[in-house]
Amino acid sequence: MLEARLQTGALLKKVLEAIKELITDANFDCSDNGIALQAMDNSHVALVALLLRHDGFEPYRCDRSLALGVNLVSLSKVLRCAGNDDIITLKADDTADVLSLTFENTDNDRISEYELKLMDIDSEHLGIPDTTYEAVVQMSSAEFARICKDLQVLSDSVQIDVTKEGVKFGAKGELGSGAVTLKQNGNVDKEEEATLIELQQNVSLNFSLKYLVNFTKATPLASRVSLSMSSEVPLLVEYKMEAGYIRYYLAPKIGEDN
Amino acid sequence: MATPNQQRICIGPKVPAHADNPISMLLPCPSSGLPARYVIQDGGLYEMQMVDSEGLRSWFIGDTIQSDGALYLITPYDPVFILIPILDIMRQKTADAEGKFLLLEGIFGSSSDQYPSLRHLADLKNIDKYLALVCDVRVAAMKTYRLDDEKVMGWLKKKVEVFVSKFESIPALVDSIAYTESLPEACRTEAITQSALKMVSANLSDSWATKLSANYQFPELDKMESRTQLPSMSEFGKRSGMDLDDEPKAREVKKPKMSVGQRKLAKASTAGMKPMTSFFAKKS
Repeated sequence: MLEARLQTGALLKKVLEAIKELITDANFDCSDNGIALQAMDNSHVALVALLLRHDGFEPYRCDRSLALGVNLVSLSKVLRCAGNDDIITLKADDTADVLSLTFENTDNDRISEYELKLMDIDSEHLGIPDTTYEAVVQMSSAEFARICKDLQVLSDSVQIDVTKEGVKFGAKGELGSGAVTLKQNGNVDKEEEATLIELQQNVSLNFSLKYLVNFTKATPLASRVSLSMSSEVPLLVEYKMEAGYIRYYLAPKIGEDN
Repeated sequence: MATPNQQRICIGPKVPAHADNPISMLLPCPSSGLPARYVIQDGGLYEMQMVDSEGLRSWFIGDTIQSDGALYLITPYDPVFILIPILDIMRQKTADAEGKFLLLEGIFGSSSDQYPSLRHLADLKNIDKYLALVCDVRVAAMKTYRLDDEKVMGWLKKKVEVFVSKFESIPALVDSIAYTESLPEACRTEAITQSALKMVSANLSDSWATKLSANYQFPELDKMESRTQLPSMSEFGKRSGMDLDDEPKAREVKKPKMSVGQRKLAKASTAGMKPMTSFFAKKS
């Protein structure tokens, strides 16, 4: 059985907002380590991996690993009934066909209980090895979201060039071209906004902007985002949370503008 | 009680030191008719249940490891439940004949090939009393028995009453009707009876269970249910003279279950992009 109590319900709401735009149904794989989810989008060119570690919940109890198959749109609708300050408790029996959610508002003693029907979902898990990337860019998540949105005006794809000086996002389309360059800086005053680059080798890769914009739905979850790149392997876009992460992988576009 | 490689972990009643070895056997399960495991020891009948570990767990026993992690539970079982279906078949009741009276040996002796263990039931302590609870008994030179429907019903109803009277003393049962806490007392009383009826019926074949439940009505609970049932959308439609049934359903099926973000992605060109499975291997 699973019992997980989350002090800040807003976190779960934001997580759902972040993944429901990419995938329809998915299994929440609950184990003693925490709650994990891995799924590919319909076209199988992107993948999202979510982990909510057990220490992010108080208390967290999961005696036996179980997979809760959930329609994410339905779950996010139910979560919209929870206030941002509500304490959310998730519960499911080992053989359960429902996920029960309890929202507690400590201020005015309001408790709401919902049950969401579960479904059987065949899921294939992909083994994602730990890789050392040729370039890792850490930057403000809001800045990344803005760049993706701005460049979308010009083109469907963005070319990301990383050198030790900085990172350049460039787009070329029918109506013209545009580029945003962020210089590597160790801005001590505004740590949140600093752009940090770890580089083994310069990289230049093309990615679908529609997908990147989709990933930036996770922006409210973290003030920082890291982009990890190596040539001809999927880009890793990671938003780290206090106890867990949400990671997006996106296949690079090969044979375009190169 | 067995050689080391046949160890079992079992929870059961205390066995007196001088007791005979238990006889383990397959008998027809009274509700499904399928073979189930029972144990007779010292003239008492016990039901054996296994909590299967599905090969995922093992036991440490002393210095040994036993790979079968199943847990066996042995609990006393009322023989009458087993007897009812057997007697039901043996009496050979037809539409115009009440059926045959049989000797004890006749009931268990001529047992079918499928259940040779039936003969052990004749050795149960007080088996004649158990039979008398649900049978017409004729005493001539020898006692003969024939299942009596009325007696069976009477006995089953008493069984339900016993459950009802013990209900409040068993926390797991009280929890099972926790939903009635906020309901009127009458509802709760009915819920208890209903729950007891379910438990007794779990040990009966479908035909007996149906006959038994015909003796019980739950007007208060039914009322509650009908109160919580909302009229369906199509009823609203009919009332206002529209037929909402056909069109919307057809439309619902067509409706893509994609979120806004997914619809946008569906338009994205994935030219030159390889699928994730070409980068990351599938886990078995």
